[in-house]
Amino acid sequence: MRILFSLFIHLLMFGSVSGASFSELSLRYLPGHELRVKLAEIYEYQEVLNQKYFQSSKFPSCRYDFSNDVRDAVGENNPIVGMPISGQPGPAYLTFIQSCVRTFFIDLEPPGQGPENKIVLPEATVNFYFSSDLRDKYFRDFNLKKNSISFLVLKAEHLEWKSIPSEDQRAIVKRLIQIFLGSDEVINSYGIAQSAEQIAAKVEATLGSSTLLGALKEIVETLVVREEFLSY
Amino acid sequence: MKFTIMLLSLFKVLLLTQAALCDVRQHTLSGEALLYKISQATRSANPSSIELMRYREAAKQGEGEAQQVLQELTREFISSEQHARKLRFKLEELFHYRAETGNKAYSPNFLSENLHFKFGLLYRGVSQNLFEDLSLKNMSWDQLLTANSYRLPFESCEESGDEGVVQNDCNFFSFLKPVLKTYPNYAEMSFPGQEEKLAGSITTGRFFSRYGNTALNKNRGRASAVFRIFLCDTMFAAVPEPSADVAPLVDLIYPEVHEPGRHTEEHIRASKANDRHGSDSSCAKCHDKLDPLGRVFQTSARYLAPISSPGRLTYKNSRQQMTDIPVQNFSELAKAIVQQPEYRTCQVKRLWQWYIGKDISISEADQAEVERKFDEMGRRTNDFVAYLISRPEFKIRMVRTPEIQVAERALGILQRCDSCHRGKESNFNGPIPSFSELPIGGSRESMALWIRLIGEQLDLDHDGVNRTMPPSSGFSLSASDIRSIKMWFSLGNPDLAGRRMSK
Repeated sequence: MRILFSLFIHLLMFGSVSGASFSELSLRYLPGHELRVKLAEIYEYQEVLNQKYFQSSKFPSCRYDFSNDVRDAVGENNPIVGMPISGQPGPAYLTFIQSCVRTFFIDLEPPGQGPENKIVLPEATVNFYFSSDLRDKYFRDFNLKKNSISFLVLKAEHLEWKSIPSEDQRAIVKRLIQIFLGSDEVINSYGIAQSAEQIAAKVEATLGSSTLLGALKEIVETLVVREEFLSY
Repeated sequence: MKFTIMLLSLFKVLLLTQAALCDVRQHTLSGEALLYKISQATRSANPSSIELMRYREAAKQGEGEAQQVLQELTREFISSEQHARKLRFKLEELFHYRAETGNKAYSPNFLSENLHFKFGLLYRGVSQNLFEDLSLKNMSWDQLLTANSYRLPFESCEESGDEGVVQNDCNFFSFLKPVLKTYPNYAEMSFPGQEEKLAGSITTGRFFSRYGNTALNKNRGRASAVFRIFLCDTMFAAVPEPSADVAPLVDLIYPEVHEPGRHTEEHIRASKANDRHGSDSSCAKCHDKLDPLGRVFQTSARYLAPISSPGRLTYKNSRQQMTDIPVQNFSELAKAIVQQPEYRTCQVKRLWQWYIGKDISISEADQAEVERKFDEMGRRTNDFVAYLISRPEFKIRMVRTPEIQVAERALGILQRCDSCHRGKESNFNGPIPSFSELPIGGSRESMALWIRLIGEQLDLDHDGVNRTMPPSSGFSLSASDIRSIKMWFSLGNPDLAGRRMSK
């Protein structure tokens, strides 16, 4: 009975999930350097922010050099054997990706409290995470500008994720799914989930952060370890 | 009891569903899903919102318009700097090095790459430029080997004060072109009258420093890299069995120590009978190819020498005939290689694997068709990549089943057997075929024969306890290797697409 149950669970967990190696397959995982390229394309606006406002172009968690062991973990061909050491992404791969993507959250750390003791965010950041109607609903212009970067301020003093209406929560999550994974047609082509709606429901169910900014980080960290993001 | 029966029924349904899922091993992509795959395969990035809008607008107008925009976007993706960079990454993996010149650690922080170059932290060398120019300038793929001009960064010449410590491009070419320091930024560097000393990627400082040479190695490492990269001939070292008599070993390591100066073909050929490289078949199998080609590098130990060194391109071709072409210099060697059918097959297969996938097999007829297209397009890089992407096989997204995973592992092991067996005479019709290319011997019948022999030699019935292969002097198989091959047998010897090749 116990064996049957364990088989049942095994099938449920692993049965329909396809895997892929880092190597030259038609379904392939992005090795480390390609992953950086993809993240940078998504966060294109951030380069401007980093150069002009934060004066930081360093993403230490995404860095590795030719001799670094992390090259094997992130699926690059090992120069000795000419192929990846590991056939499939392991925990180290996912850890690398999540630590790397965290470095892109730098502008989700408010540069300081505004004079009204409210959270301010660069306008480009707000536009990235929120559709225009949600932006107008939750943010207003703020008289703060540094090095040509405009900032917006949250209308509410403290905005909890749970205080946001569920339809707005879903809109935010689906927007990020659209950015990171693509449309329903793209998602469906992987044969894992059928739609952004389905993924959004799963993501929302696992969110643990109480604040809006914390939730945004969690959503992105969940999305970047999905098959639909890591492989093509 | 009822619960158990229900669970069993559910389990049965799940198994059937699973079996159905296993049969569906690939999806055919279209529309936006295809656009995403093209964008990621060529640029490692999703399409931008503007590109996506452009495609969606066209799709609203009809299928024909959508196809046209898809083709336009594909060309734009392939012509982009991102594609050139992605291609460079792939070539770096193939060449087993980072292409920047100098000993600086590779910095992946591409966002500040320009700053790194600006402050001299990285050197954008001729090797890196050549890799990227293949796509940026839609050059012939052959130029990877035959190019006789390079783009050289001025910065690296300015840094060449510590000559002999840091080998950069200016040091490397200094014997051929001492006036390099007068060149402006990223100048086209050509060598009028000296083209015969140049051969694209293999006459760059980066290639020389990656594949270093010693008196013992005699440029065999470089020759081996040329065979591997351009003719897909992967060689594994065969370690001779130890002997109490060290004299043969000394001969092996220092074959010319007693009679220095034996550099001519006649001397080398004459010495082969006494040299273990020539007399031991396991050594000679590779050394008969490596040594003649390695001699082209003979005068250029660390820098490219003004004096060319003759050598030979010698190997057994795919029709089991000897190819033996004398060459006077690097340029002649490069031209000889790119004219070989094995070179064309090798490069086309590699590009197929890079852009379509190793797990999407190609029939002999399709291979011939793709090679014909390769030639027809003047072997131009971007044109050929666009052609590959337009093929129906590119639109397949393969689901990786357990059969595929087991096949990958088993064929990887059998590839090592190929290094000794492939091409040798057999007791059956023709030479021993490659064990890692399915069906073995080209047909199901031949495959059945060789599978039976492999099973017997490895004693798979007894978990390899009494196996006769590989010999004790060759590589060894671990228990895990045996288990993998046994599992591959039990699954019907699937190929890399998961298809059973045996009953």
